[in-house]
Amino acid sequence: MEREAFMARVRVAVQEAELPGASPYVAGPLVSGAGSKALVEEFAANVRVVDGECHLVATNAEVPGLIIELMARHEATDFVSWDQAAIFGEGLLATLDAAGYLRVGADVTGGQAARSSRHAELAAVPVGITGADGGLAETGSLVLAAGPGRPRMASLVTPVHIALLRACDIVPSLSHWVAAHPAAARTTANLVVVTGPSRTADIEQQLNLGVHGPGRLEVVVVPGAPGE
Amino acid sequence: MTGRAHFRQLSAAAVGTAPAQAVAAGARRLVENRLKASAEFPVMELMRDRARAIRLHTLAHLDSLLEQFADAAEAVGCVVHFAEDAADANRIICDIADEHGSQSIAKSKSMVTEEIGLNAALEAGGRTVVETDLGEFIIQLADDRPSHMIAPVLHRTRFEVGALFRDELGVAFTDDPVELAAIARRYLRDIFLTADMGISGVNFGVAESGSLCLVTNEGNGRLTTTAPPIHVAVMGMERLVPTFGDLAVMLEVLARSATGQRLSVYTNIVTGPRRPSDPDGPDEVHIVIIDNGRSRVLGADTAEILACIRCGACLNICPVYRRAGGHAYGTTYSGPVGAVLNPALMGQSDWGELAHASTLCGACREVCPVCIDIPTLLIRSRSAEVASGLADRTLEATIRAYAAAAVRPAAFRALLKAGGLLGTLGRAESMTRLPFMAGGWTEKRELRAPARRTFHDRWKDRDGT
Repeated sequence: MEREAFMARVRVAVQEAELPGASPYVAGPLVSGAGSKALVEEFAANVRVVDGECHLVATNAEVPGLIIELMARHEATDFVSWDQAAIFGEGLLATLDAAGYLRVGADVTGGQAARSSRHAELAAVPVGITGADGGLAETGSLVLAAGPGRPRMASLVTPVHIALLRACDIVPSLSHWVAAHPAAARTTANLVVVTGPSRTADIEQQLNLGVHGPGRLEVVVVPGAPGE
Repeated sequence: MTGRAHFRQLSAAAVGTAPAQAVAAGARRLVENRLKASAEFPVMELMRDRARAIRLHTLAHLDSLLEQFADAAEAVGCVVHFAEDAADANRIICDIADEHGSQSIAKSKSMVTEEIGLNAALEAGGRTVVETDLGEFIIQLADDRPSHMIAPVLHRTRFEVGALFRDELGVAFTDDPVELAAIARRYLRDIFLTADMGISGVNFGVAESGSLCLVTNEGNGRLTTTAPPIHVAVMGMERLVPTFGDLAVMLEVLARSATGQRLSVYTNIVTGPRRPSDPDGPDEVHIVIIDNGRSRVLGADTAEILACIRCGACLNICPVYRRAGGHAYGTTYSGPVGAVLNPALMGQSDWGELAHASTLCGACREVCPVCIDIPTLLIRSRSAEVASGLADRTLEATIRAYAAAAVRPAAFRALLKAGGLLGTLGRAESMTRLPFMAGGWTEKRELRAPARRTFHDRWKDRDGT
C-alpha cells in the first residue's frame, strides 16, 4: 500500500474516533516527589506570597461544602466554570445546582452574535471555577490548559477565580512541569500559567489587584492520588 | 519610526525635572526588586548562562527556526505573514482588519507595534484602537510616549493620572491608584468584550510548536487574545526560542529581571486559533513577523543586541537613563539597549548620537538576563560612526591630539602642567564648572578636581627616597 493511501485511511478514522478525554493532552512522565507534603506546603505558602488564598482539604467530600462557603463569602449566586469532568471534586457542579447556584455558559460557538451575547452575560458573573493541570511550588502558580469543556474565560473574566488542583500535580517549578509535559504547548490551543491574582503597579508603582483579570484567587488543593 | 536623535538637547532639558526624578525613583525600586529576586534564586547565574546560550543559538539559526516556526504555526491553523518593513506590516494588518470589517480593536502592550507606528496607521483608516495595559492606556489618553519598557508611565504622578481620567473619561477626580485602576477596568471591560479584533505583541515564539508566549500581569494580554474573534500577533523576527523547554528557561529569568517577580501573573501560551471542540478563544490567529531592519543588524557586528528579551533591567541600572529619563532617547527603545538598537535598526546618520548616551560603566552587562555585552556593542556602534565619517570632528581632533601627546613624554608633561593649572582654579573636592569648550560637560555634572601634584611628580619623589 502506498503511503498516501495508507495515511488517508488513518486520517478518516481519526476524524471519526470517539475518544472523550483525549483532549487536551497534557499528561507526561510523573515527576518524582510530586505532591509530597513539603511541596504542597511550599506551594500553599507561595500562593499566599503572591496574594492568593490556598485551602487544603483532607478529603474530596469536603470540596462542595468549601466551594459553597466561598460562593457565600464572595456574595455570588452565579458562576462560569469548566465541565465537571475537568474539575476534581466529584459532584461539585451537581451540588451547586441543587443549592440554587446558576452556571452561566461560556461557549461562543455560532459566530459573532453568539460571541457578543455570551460576553454580555459573562460581564456580570462574579465567580469562575476551574480545575488545573499543574501547581508550581516555587512560584505558587497554576497551569491551566484550554480544551473541550474548559473555557478560558472561566479563569479570566470574573472578579474571583476558584481553582481546584490535585496535590499529586504539584511539582517543584515551571521547568519541572515543562519537562514532564513536553507536548503541552502543541496539544492545547491555550496554556496559561497563573501566578496570583491580576495585578498592576503602573501608577506610582503602587500595587493594585484585579485590574483586568480576577482580583481574588482561591486555590483549593484536593488530595487526589497519582493514577486516579 | 522616522526622525532623529536629539539626546543632547532632550537630556539636558530633562535632567533634574520632576518626571526624570520620578523615573529615577521607579528605576531604583525595580533594581532593588531584581536584586531580591536574584538573591533568593540560587541558580540565577546558571539560568542566565542557559538563557544566553538559547538566545544566541536562536540567532545563529534564525533562518531555519523561522521556517520551522512558520510551518508549525500554519499546521495548527494560524495565518503567518512576513513584513519587510513598517509600512509593509501596517498594510498587512490594516488589510486583515478590512477583510473582516474590524472597526473596534483592543490592543495589549507591544513595543514592536510602537516601533512601526501601527496605531496611527489603523486610526488613519477610521478604526478605533484602544490600548488596554493600564500604563499604555494612560499614555494613549494623554497622547504621551512611554518612558520605560515595562512601566510606561513611570514619569507620571497619580495626580496627573487623576486629572487625565477626569478630563478624558468624564469621571470624578481621584488620585487613589486603586480607584484609578478600577475606573480603567470598568472602561476597558466593554472594549474587550465588544472588540472585533485583538492585537498583541509576542514575548517569545516557540519554533517547534508555532506557539506564541505573551507575558502580562494585568490580564489584558489574555483578554485581548481570548475575547475577540480575531487575534493578530505582531512579532519581531528575532523573538523565537527553539523549544518549549527553552521557553521555560527564558521565563525563569524574564520576570525576575524585569519586576523581581518569580513569574509574571499570566504566562499565556497560544498555539493556534480555538480548536473545533474548544468552547472559547479566537476563531482566527494571524502572526505578522517583522524584519524592519533586523536582518541587517543580524548580519552586522552588533547582532548580539537581538538576543534582548525586553526586561528593562539595563534601563533601571543605567546612570544615564536614570538622570535623563526615557523620553530623551526620542524613540521606542530607551536606555542602554536602545543606545545600541536604535542606530543599528534605523541608521547611524540619524540615531548614532544615542551610542554616546552611555558612560560605558558596564552595569547593563552585569544585570542583563542574557548577558549581552552592551558596552562592547556601544563601542562598535561608535566605531561605525567614526568609520563612516559621521563622528563629532572636534572630539576626534581632541582625542588625536591627546594620543599624539601621550606617546611623547615632553609633550605629555606639558599637558599635565596645563591640567595642574585647572586644579588651581578651585580648592574644592569636585569641580562644578570647567572652562571654555569643556563647560558644557559640567552643566549637569560634577567632576572630581585633579590632584594638586601629578603622578609623575610623586613618582620622582619616591625615586628620591
